[in-house]
Amino acid sequence: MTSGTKPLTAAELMQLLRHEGQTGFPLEAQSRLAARMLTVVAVGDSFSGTAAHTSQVSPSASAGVFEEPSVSVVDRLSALLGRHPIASLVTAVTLGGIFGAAGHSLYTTRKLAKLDVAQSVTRVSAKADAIAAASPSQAPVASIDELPLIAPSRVTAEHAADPRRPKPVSIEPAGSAEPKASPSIADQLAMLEQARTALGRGDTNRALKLLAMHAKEYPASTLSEEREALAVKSLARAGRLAEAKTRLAQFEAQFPGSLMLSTLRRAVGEIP
Amino acid sequence: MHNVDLPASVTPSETHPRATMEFHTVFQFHGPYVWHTLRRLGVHAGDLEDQTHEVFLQVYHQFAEYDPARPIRPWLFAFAFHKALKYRSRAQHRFEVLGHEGEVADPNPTALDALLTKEAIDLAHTALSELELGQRAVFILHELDGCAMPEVAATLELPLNTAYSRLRLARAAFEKAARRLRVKRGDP
Repeated sequence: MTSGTKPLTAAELMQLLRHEGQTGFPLEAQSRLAARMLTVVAVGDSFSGTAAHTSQVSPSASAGVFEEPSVSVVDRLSALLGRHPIASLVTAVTLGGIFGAAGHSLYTTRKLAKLDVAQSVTRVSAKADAIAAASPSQAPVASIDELPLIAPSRVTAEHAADPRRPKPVSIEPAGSAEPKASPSIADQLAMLEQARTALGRGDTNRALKLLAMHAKEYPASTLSEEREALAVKSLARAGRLAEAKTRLAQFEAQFPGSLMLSTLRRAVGEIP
Repeated sequence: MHNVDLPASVTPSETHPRATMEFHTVFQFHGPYVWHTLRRLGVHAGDLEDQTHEVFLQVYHQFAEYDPARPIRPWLFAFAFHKALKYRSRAQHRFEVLGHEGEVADPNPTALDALLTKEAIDLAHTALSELELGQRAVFILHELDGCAMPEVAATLELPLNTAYSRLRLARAAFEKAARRLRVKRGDP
């Protein structure tokens, strides 16, 4: 506070901290972190052996040259971005993405997906629902109410009560808010997620094609690190080890502090 | 998830879709919590993204150990706390820099009140940064996150009495810091 404004007591400072704790990620960080999380999941899959399972995905889901995203793409990206990626390319990275969708369950996301993407998605989605229904105790979290959020209502009430606080932009749905960042981030995320999914299936050709497309369209993207990491992994998976190592060397030069380096070194066999 | 074609008789722990789904959910709803927790624990603004990513990397790999009967935030807090301890142990971070240089753009509109609030929040973080880390962890969990003291003690693996004693010390230290900051700024 500048002098002349009301001094803040310890209790008020604590309230400010509580309030701040309820806001979302800073805008820039949100999309980057979501993209990095996609990579985390891809890494985890290859470590935990799910890669073997991924090849069992129905071939019907991969028809077409530029295929419709499978339900997993829609779910994952929506879950990470906090909103539906296809219908909201413009607003995907606007304020409040994370909490803006808090009122929507993942089922809602899935319903939106059914509206927008091909019938195959509906089929896959229906199967997912069936599996969820078959084991209700193990069903995915389907509602915000089931999440152990700590006293969100209390905080919301505080917002309403105290006009001195900033508007809870990050908690309310973005609605008709002006887009605050380039919509291309959502496009890019969708593209990289498709590449990641293709890699998960073992379709390294397709993964590399998508990554090359991304590199051509967005050569200096904030998501370059993710793209290059996926490229190294795709080449390694395709058995093109020499190329993978060359690409990794370029990656290392470009992103010397990357957290993904050890994973990539392992992927190309530099670390056993 | 990508392996929905597996027979329904296969349990989710074998197929991973549930684990992956919940990891996404956790990131979506609690990612910002981890971010703010790390900041409260003294991670510089410029390092928050990397540190948050690292925390979730660990969360992902240990996700099977999460007991859904427990609230998730204290569980996540423990990851963030250990990450913050490690972060601070590195020489270049031993002295916290106040003022949060390299701060990403404030997501609020540039209205004057938002600006003032940002300044006030920085002030609050300054007060918080004066708390010893062990006390600060108790203070954050109980006073800011609304966590019950037995849960706080369990999260930090402390005897309940110790947790209470740290809470008392932390409250006193925070009060003192707030008073001192008021005086320093020329406020009455």
